[in-house]
Amino acid sequence: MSITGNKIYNYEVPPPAGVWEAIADELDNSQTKVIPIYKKNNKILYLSLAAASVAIIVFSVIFFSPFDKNADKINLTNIINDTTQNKNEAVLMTVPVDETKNIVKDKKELLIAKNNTGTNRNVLEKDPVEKTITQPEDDFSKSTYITVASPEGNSIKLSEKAATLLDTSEAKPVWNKKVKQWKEIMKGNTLAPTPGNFLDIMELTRSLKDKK
Amino acid sequence: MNLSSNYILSEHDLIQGCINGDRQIQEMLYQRFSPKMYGVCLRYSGNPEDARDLLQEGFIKIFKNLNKYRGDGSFEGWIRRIFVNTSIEHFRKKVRLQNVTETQENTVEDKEWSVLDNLAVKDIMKMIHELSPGYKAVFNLHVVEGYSHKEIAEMLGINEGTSKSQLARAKTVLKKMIEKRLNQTSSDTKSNDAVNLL
Repeated sequence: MSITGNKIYNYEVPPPAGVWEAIADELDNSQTKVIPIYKKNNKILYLSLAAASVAIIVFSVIFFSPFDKNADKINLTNIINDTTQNKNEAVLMTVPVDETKNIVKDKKELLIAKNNTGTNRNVLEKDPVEKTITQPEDDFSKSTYITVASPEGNSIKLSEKAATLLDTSEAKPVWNKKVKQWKEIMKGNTLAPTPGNFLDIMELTRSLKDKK
Repeated sequence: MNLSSNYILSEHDLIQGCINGDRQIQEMLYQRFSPKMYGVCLRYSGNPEDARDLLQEGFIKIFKNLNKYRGDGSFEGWIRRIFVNTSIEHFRKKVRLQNVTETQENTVEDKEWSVLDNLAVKDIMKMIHELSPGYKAVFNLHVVEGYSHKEIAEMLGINEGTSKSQLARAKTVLKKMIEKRLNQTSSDTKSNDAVNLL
């Protein structure tokens, strides 16, 4: 840079009065946000997001899990086709299992759904709360899982809520109506939910609410 | 933070304090750099009222963007660039330079400005103020700030040839000013040498 350029470059003039006050006022009005000079650490943010995602997933799995919360009981389905009797006969067994030893105990409870030629109908095809279903004792009030087997050999699990329905079908006839209503809705619904798929369950719930 | 007027902060502490919003330290930064930056604003604006506005606007930009200063290059250089850009922005709003096609490129060598070396800064500043906005901007950016014509062209939105021609014309006008000044003090021997040099 030339001497002239250098002279002008370093030329200083005292600023006019009142400029600093105007600057300070402007800064106060704009409410300048102070950001530290160090770089923002995004690690903490990413870790928080990851932790929140994991928490949401765990919560969803626990809250919406289709499985029985009491892990000490295993529900078995035995389909016995009695060749001497009516082939539509299906036998259910609900067997509590020792959680420590994982051994099937002697205690058995049988549910027999007979498909008589009379007025009684097949549990799986018609109303599942038929009177022909015999209930075991108090175990259904606990968290027992019912597995219903069709004559074709397909097993369907019913949660404890369904067990409650079965248990109170005589005391509260209103449930019969509700179940019939749901059955009609299911017939008209093209959705075939699977208990293992959470989204299917949600879709089913939504369709039931809409139909109401 | 209570600081006495004699307390001189390091540049790092000054920057940190301003970022933290310490009004006292911000004022210290203003006191330290405002005379030089006001000189910059005067060179580009040409009148004290516009220069005052530019000074205020420039410092507000500095305080708001101080966190963006990465430490590469001098702090004063960073501040100066903000003021130059603010001044150029102000200039572009007021003046729109037309691109000119010159048949002959007028290149001005730095040594040709040496005629001004013998003049006092105040006199040089007076002459710069009398230049038209376009000449003034190019003169300041090239001769004083040291930008190339290519950089000036980008800043002002003109082509390189226009930048060169503006500078050449600025030289012509300054030459006339100096001659006029020298004629007014014809008994001075240095002024005669300056004319010969031109």
